Amino acid sequence: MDIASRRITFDLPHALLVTAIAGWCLWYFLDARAASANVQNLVLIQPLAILVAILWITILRETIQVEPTAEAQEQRPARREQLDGPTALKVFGSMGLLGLYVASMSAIGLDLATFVYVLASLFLLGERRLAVLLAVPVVFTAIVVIAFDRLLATPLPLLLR
Amino acid sequence: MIDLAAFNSALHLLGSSWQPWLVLVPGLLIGLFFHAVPGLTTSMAIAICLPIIPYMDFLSALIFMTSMYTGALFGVAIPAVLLNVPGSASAVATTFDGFPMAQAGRHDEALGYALAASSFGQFVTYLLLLTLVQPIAEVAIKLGPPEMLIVAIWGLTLIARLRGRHFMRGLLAGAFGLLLGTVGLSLRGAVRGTMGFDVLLDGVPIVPAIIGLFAASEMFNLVRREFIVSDAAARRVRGGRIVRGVVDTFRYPGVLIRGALIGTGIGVLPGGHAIANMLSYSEASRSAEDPESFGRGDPRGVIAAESANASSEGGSMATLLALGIPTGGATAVMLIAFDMHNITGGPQFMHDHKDLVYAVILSNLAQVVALAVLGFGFIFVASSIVKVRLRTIIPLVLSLAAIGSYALSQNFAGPITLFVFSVLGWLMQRFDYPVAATVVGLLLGRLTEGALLRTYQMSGGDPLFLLGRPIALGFLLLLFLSFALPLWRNRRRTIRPSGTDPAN
Amino acid sequence: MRPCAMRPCAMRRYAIRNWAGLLVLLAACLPASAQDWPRRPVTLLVPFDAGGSVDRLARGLTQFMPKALGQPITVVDRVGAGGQIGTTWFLQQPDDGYTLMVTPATPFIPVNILVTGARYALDDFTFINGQWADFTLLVTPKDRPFRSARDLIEAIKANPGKLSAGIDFGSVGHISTLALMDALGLGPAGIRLVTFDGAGSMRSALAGGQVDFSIQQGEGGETVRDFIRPLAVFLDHRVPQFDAPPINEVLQPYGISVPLLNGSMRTLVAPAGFKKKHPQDYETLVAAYRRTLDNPDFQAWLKGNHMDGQWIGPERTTANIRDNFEVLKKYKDLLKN
Repeated sequence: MDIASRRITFDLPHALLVTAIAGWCLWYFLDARAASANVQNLVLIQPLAILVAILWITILRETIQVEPTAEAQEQRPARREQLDGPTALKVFGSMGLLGLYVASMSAIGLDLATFVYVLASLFLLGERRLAVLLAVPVVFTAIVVIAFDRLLATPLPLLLR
Repeated sequence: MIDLAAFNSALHLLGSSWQPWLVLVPGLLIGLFFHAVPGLTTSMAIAICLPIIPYMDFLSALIFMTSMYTGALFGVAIPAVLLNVPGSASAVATTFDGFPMAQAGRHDEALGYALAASSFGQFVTYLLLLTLVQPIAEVAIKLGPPEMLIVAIWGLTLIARLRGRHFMRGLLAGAFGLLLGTVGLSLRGAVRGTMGFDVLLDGVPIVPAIIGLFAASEMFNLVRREFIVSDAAARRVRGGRIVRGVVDTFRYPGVLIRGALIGTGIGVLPGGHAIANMLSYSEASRSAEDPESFGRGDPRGVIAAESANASSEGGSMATLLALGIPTGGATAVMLIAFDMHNITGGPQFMHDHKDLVYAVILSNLAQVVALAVLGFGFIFVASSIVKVRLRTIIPLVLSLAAIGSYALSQNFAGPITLFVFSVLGWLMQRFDYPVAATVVGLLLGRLTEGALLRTYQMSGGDPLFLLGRPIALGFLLLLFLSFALPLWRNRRRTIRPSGTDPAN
Repeated sequence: MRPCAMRPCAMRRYAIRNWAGLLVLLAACLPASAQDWPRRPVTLLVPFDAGGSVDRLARGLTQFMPKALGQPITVVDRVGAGGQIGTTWFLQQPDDGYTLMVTPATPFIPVNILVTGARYALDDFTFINGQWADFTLLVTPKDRPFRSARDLIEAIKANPGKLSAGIDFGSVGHISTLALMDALGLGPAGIRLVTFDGAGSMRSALAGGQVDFSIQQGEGGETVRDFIRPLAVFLDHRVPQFDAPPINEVLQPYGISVPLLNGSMRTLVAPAGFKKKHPQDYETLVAAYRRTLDNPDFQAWLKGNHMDGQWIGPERTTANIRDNFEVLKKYKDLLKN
């Protein structure tokens, strides 16, 4: 954006991230305060919350750059590398798959979830050989289930009992 | 300092029967394996081994337990170096330089450094124990909350070193980690930040959170690469490179010995073994001529972290062996062996059975030698992972981490934590927030708050209270000097190590 | 499958040892085989660490109780938040009797309910038997000048708010400390309460002389006994292990007394629904457990492990826990902050 020859840039994603982090910290402080406002309960949390609030405002100001000077240019992050389409798909796809995996564990059982997750991730990351696509998830799931559930006596929520 | 009669008797104990020696190698291998595979934990190893312990005699049981720990202390370094997965809090600093080395195709060397530093660190600490077990224990027991607080602050200063390019962001990441570390039921029974989830009463599950922040987020970045090591020629596992790492370790005697001493010293504090590796790393990078090389695959980083981690159990072993008081880590495990043989520790028992104490320490020295051999073979096998394509490694590591997180807490808090923190870690890295600072905060949150709170409670809020604590004052002076001296020497030096962007 | 078909090898050992043992075994198994429960292995939840005292007791039961139950038993440890995490999980399991719990029912369940916001009530549990109860003990580090409980109390009264007491939050020792201060008319401000994270770290601190005194579990005292001086026991009689008078004897000259709370009472617990829905199976469980306690091998094992194997029955156990609950309720507001 150019306003009367001054360049103003606003790093919205960064502002959102710093606000999310600081927001959690401040919510946490209020939650702890609600649990007990005794000085002994807040002996560490309160000073940290104040520090976080100061840092939040400072960093938020950094996300808005007006007429960047040479010094400010140097302060700016080396520009974040852009994610091209296929990479972005892999990155966010991996995140999404992990999320689905974790969310589905209790519903469909850890064995089935693991099998599906490994298979889908292999495919997403570019594995196309059918033998590998089937063998790796099957063998891995079998080893993990036997190792954890049987040998380690760690009961897992399983579909096949 | 050595009671010769007891020492001879200990040699006799160990020499007259083959049974104590029989359990040493299995113990080492169990320890190595359970910590080299992300997702397996000590408590699982213990759960498997509990039934057989009553069938061993007491000395064998103690040796079995300690050799499991000896193996574990090095085992955690393997996934830390190869996959950026710290298997436990005590391997966090190993990832800082270990993983960059692996990415540069120096994985064999890095593991060689780690093995040598780990063996050396353990050897030094047990040698110290052999001669000074009583005095170490007596000093250890005198260390209380104020001393612990100063050590915690020392640990926190690492946040400033891990700040990456942006000081403010480093501080925010650190403060965020500290706050996260205090979530749950407080020491005074207040429920904080659990959002109504009972599983968070015990705090944010630490290991899943660390693995999420470090490893899982890194996996998301690695999707665009085919192998951990880009250079195809460097992907071979070469014994010669491992040996070179082992030999070259001793080219840095200063780093090695300082690490071992810091480890032993910090290890005597309750909870100290988790932070010894970070303090040692921090000191190594601070005192180096070229601190900027730390975090980019500097072997000294691996050596500093590993030698301190390895020696950090020796201190708590001293309080258990000399005074019968466990201060955590390995010693809590050894106490199970005590209980199962109906033996109540305590100074009297230890005084009457000094030969047993010596026998355990001597066997630990032997374990270290065995570890050096077994660990070598283990690296050979484990290192082959760099030959596997990342598109196979990534799903398997993430899945193992998720299942391991479940097994660790026996509920879904673990896997959910892993996921949330993996996304958070990725975002933080992308916006130049040092995740390592958050991890340091997370690890130290509870410890710092506990020590601060207890110091406040003991003193009744009176700062003059510290004057009655000479050890605390000494620590404070050391802390001050460790900051003032380098400043005075070179005011313009800045340090930028980080696990923040090992991808570069 | 007949329940006797799946026996762990441990019991085979005992059975083969003598014929009488085998007969007892058959007698135990035959009536059980006519029952509906248990048809498969039973899980015993321990909401505390593997290797701890409750865990070891539970593992002892897995050795001896299958003989009377006709099914193997496995122990699962789910640690966290003073037993609250494991106990919450326990109540989420089906109340078919295949998941039972061994826990220090008092003080932990009352404290979870009263202080740390657990979403369960005493009525959610059927307390079968408080098998092994501990008492509490007033101790001071050896380097302190207090020779007797009276010395200590005089020092507290002379220097209100100056002496420090180590506590493990929500433990019986904590509540007893508050009760003592209450009785002395000083309130919690009369001393500096120092909160440690767990009985273990508190004992280390006691051994290191970090605090002036502490009221703690009797058994735990063993490991640090060379560093501490026992001053009083929270019982109405003396005990052979520690040379210290009963606390209320010490307090008599002041014309005051404190409630004598149970230390940890390790109790076998079933979900309330099990007794209600399957009364016969519940009786089977109680009978099997009683037979286990009557087994001289089990008693010998307990003795060897410094544990108790007393039978006080569901009524007395429940009454005891309720009494403790009422006393704790009185001090609830002092605990909350």
